Amino acid sequence: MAINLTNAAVERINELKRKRQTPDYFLRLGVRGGGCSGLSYVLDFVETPEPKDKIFDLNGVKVVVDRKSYLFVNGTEIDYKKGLMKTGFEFKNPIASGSCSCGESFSV
Amino acid sequence: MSNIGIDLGTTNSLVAVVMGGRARCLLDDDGHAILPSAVRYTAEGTVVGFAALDDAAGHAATTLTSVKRFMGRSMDEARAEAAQLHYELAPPDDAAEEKVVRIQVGERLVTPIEVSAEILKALKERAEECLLGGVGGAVITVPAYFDDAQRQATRDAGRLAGLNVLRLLNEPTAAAIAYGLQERSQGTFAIYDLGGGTFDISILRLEDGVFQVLSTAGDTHLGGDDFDRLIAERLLQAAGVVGARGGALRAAMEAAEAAKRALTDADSTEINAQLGEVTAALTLTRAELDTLIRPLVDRTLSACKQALSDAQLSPSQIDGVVLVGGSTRVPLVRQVVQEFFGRPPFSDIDPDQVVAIGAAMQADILSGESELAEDVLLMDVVPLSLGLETMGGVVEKLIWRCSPIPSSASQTFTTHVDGQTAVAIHVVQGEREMARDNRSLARFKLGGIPPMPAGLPRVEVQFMVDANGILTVTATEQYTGKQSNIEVVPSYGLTDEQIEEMLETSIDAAETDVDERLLVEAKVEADQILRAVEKALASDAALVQEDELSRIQAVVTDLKSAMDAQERKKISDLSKKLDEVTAPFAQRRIERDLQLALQGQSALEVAERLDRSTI
Repeated sequence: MAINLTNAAVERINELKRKRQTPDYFLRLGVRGGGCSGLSYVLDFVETPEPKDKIFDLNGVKVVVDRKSYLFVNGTEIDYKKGLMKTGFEFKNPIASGSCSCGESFSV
Repeated sequence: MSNIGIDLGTTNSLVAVVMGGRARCLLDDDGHAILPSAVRYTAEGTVVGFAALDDAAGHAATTLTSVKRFMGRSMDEARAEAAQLHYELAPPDDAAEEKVVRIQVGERLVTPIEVSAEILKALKERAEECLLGGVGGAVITVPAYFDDAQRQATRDAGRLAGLNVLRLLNEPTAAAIAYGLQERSQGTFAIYDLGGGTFDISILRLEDGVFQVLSTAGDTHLGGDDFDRLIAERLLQAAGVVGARGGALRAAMEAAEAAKRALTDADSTEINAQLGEVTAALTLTRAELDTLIRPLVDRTLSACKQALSDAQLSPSQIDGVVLVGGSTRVPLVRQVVQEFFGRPPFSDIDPDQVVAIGAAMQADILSGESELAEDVLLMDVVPLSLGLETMGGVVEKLIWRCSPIPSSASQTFTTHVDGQTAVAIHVVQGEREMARDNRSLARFKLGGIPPMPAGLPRVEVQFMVDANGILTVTATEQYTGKQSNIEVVPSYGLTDEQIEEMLETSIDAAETDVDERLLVEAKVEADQILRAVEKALASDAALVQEDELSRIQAVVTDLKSAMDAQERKKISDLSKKLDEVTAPFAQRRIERDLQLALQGQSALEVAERLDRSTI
């Protein structure tokens, strides 16, 4: 188990890093309380990981997750979809018992 | 959430953010940091930036550029500028509508604020995309010479774009921050900003980590585009094209710009361009370019001299020069600036991005969780004094010219006639002593004052200029707490030259102004005494002796004729004399009142009463 990125997600993250002029940044994946189903996914770019973060190198994209969040996102696949209804990152989380239709929050 | 910094420019706009302790501009899909400040209105919606400029010539009527030139200006002020830019302004309407510039775009009318909001929206979207954590507040830069109306318009554009505008920051100050100049303990800096179509020179003074704008000068129609035009003319001349227009002219301008850029590094460049039917070829050397543009570059130096002389400084007193604007890449410009100030200018940061970067650094500091170590305090100053009109049309200044922003001041005023239930507050801007000679900013009324004898009500008027230079005036009647206020959104703007002119006339007119003020003040005082004397004579004629009455009346007559003759010295002297000759009469009235008050009361009651009255 780990974190997984689809090709579309890798491409999008690299594009954003280019636009931000922060090629060496890490993508941080975390969860926090809130959202329609109890917990929400949080994505951000960070310059350096925290001491106890889990670090993954996924097709050249460095992803960091703090240990607490990792309990909830272990096994999650991040995808990027461009659609009529919604454009953005999507999360497929095997641990999630229920998720809302927007896919941004979940419960365990 | 990250705060963002925005450079809302005449030609180009940018957005930058501090990430990892370093400010960076955010790029578009094609890797451009700049977003051309161009908006095209189509049936499907608005197109902003490079897309709006593509084939702009084919959509000239619906593509707006340089809209910043109209921010906070009135229709009257905008007409000449609009003609140059081929803008069509809204047809003259009623007076109220005349105050705000409205531009005809196809079927619809838009204001410069709406157009600027479209540019800001595009930058905000870029930031939202890049900042997964969301966009917090924004710092937007404005030219140092922007007045209240222009600043308010910029703020409104930010709000309309859905931005939380934390602060407006002067462009030269932003450039100075980008170079970390605030970390020095003190210094005087020149910010030389040569853009595509405008030139600004600003002299800043840094003291205790605070920047003050000492002076600004410039030319609102001088920039890199003028360099291009000269090269294009040379090219057209060489190709034997006379009176080029439309496509041929545009092709020549594009080739000229490319040549100018090439000559930044190369000593010589080949220009090949298809100008309509004609193929033009020309070799241009750096030396030839220098000769072509020299007169224009010299014009920037005249402005530099002006700014220095306004700040009463010589070039050698400048501790650092910062280059801003893409046209400062031209080697001749750098060389000339270096020679003039006698030191190499700061130029490490991309001159197109330096203002946005400084704005981002300021935005980061305002977030309170700054990644940047040093705190920067910024100080801008009020360009013209702010005050209100008092009795007789005299101006009482509350906030003085060159006061640091933010700034506030309050003063207590009272009524002039008995039973007055309202006061009119007339807010004016300028240095002259009489209200009519200054710029009127706003008028409002504070009503609901309980009827009282003149001089008793206390109305506190507070002037507050916030960090964005926007003035709020609040009037409070102290007994009832009744309050009335106004936020000043001046309906038309002032140019740098007008401010300069206002300052100059105030100096020229200083002597006559002060004389007039003293005369009016003497008359107002005399008028108050006359009213009081006449009232007392009418109600207590019995307390006056005959010869006393005739003496009083003689002084009254003299005083009135002195007032008619506008003789200040005489008015003051006679006011004093009237006060003296009526003193025994006033004394008798007080004694009589005291007697009436004491009748039929116990000593305790009287004591209590006296106690209370002394509170």
